[in-house]
Amino acid sequence: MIYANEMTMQKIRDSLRAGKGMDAVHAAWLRWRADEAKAAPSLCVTDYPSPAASGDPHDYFSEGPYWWPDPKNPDGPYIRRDGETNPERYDLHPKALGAVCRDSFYLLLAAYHLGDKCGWAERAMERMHAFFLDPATKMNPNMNHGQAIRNLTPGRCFGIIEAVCMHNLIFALDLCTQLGIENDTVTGTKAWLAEFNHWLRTSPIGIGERDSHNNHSMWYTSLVMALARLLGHDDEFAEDCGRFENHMRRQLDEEGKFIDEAKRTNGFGYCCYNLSAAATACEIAHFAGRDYWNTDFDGRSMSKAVIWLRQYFANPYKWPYQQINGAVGDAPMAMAAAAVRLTDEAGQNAAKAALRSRAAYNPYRDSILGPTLFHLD
Amino acid sequence: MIYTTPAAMRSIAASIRAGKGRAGMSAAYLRWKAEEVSARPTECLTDFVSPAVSGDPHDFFSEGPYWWPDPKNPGGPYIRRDGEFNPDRFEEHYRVLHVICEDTLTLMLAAYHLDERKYADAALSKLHAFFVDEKTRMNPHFEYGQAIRGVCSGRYIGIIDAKCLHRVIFALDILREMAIENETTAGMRQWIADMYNWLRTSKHGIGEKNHGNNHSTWYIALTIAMARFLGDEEGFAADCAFFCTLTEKQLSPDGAFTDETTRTNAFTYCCFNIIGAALICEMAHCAGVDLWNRDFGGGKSMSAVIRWIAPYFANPYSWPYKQINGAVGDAPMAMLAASVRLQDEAGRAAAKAALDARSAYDPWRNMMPIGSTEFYFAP
Repeated sequence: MIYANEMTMQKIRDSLRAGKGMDAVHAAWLRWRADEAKAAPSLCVTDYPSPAASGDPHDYFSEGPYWWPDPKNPDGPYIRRDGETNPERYDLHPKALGAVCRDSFYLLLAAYHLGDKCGWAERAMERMHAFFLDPATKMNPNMNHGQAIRNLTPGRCFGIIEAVCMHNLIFALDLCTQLGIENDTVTGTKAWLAEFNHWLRTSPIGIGERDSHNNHSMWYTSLVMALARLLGHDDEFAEDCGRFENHMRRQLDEEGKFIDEAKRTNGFGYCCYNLSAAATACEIAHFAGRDYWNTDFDGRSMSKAVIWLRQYFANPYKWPYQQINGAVGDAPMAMAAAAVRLTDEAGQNAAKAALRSRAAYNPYRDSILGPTLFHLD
Repeated sequence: MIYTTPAAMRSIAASIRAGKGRAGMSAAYLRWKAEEVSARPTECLTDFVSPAVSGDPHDFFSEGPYWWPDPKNPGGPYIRRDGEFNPDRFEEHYRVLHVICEDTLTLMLAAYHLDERKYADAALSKLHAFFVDEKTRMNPHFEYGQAIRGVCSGRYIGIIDAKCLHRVIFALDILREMAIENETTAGMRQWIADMYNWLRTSKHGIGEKNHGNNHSTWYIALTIAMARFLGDEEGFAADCAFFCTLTEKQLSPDGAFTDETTRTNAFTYCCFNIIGAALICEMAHCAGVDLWNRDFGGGKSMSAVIRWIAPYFANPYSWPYKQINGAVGDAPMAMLAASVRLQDEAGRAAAKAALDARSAYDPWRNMMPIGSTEFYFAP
């Protein structure tokens, strides 16, 4: 599997079905999420008319979140205000894409773990079919019009960050394999992802995102790694791993700080975000037999990144850079993975301490069913 | 009822028993906790020999958490280091008291919501051992709470540790609601009455009441709960009046608790006092008295308190006072109650914003209608 270990998944499934103690709670949680996902409406890009420059209702469209009218030039190009999300920006396609990916994941995860007596898998097929395959409602396999900016550009490479939710979809398809679900929807959605993968790797916009320098390229790399694994493209996967190694060398300093993230107006949040991206890539690599968790990248490492960030989880008031939206950064799944994967004691201890400090108000810190992208063994 | 309403209890029980969605999770959680607790042996004060000067193994004993040996005078009186917990302090009595309080309420919530008499029986058995049985019971006082080596054998300040008794009072309230009465419930009623009397008439009790800051708030919260449990209407009314005067004294005009902002962990202490005040307001609400919207004088009110603290939940980095342990303050149940009870829109909006601010990093907010909170909110 791409994000998990088959035997671990089976063990978890067995405990959930036995439903003893806390597993009964986990099972009830999963049932709840799956039932909610099942009841959710099947909303597609075509349900939301957009101002995409192509005029094609099947084209994904979004606007950059931090772009605003210029008070000095009201009819001119929008200007950037980092960290300030414009509530007027078009975000209906991002929400719909996020929903189909997340809902499909919960539906198939529940079908896997609890047994599909509730039509969960069938509902997932309906949702995927509508969103990606049905000629009347499907999304085209590109993001040419992602993160457009009014009066400036019809779409930019940075829109690809909004494809990160596809990790959920890829995990859902991986679960279909585990469940032996083979049908036109599964085949078709994989084919859609193959086209999307090709677009990511060969289009100017895709290449632009690939070569961007911060969390965007880190998330892009995690996504293409997952796609390469899904599609069985070993050459692509090896190339993606090489890129990930470069990210680790270039984006971190020797203390473990993500240099470009810390400079953002919401630096704490962005450092956590990039650590989550790196952790996702490390997990995918782990299940492909590569240990990036414990690799030294010219003095940079995941361990150092965890240790560096952990000091601010312990005492957010010490955050020395900006966080204009006031949110306290968090990366629970990255810390959960780090606590298990890191072999050096300092890194392990930092990750475990980070998890403990959340324990006070999160009774599910040990749950493997949180809004996670991966299961740990 | 004291902390909630019979209608709220019935409604929550109905959704838990239907077990759909989130309530299904609550049901599983409650059952799991109740089973765990039932299987645990009951630890009593008498299981742990303490250095209480009375030499009575039934006397609760604890040491002040922030008191340490004086490096300049090693065998001498301890000195205070606010916010720094001394890990060598005697805390077995504190620990087992908190365990029995939490366990009893868990069992009674499970008994009521899951309609399982066996959990009520388990709760009664634990209460009997800890508070009623002559061989193992705790004496109904806190004479030797928060002692300080070389300074005192106990202080009124120790009464703050009695706040866990809210859980026992809630459990007893549920027993009453379920019409369960026996030798244990009679013994508990007597114990509460004796503790209530000690709180009101002893030197320690009076000292704690008049200390000021969160100690007075939590003292009044406890006497209000006990007055309601015992049916002392005069005592209840007097306590409500005292709370209003006390809160007016503690507040700056813009809604800050001035005795808490000077602490080394001021954010969490402000939240602590807000939670105590909210608990009092909720108990008063359940008795038909509206303290949530009372003007304490000079525009000081719960709304002002909520409006003052809410921006710091939204942006903890802007906290202008100390918080040496790095923790971010939080008061979710108080904010939840405020978002419903406050009549002014600005107050309600601030409370809602405070709740929304948590969701970014706490996806489990409001996940369970049964939290380990001091009270059980009933909209």
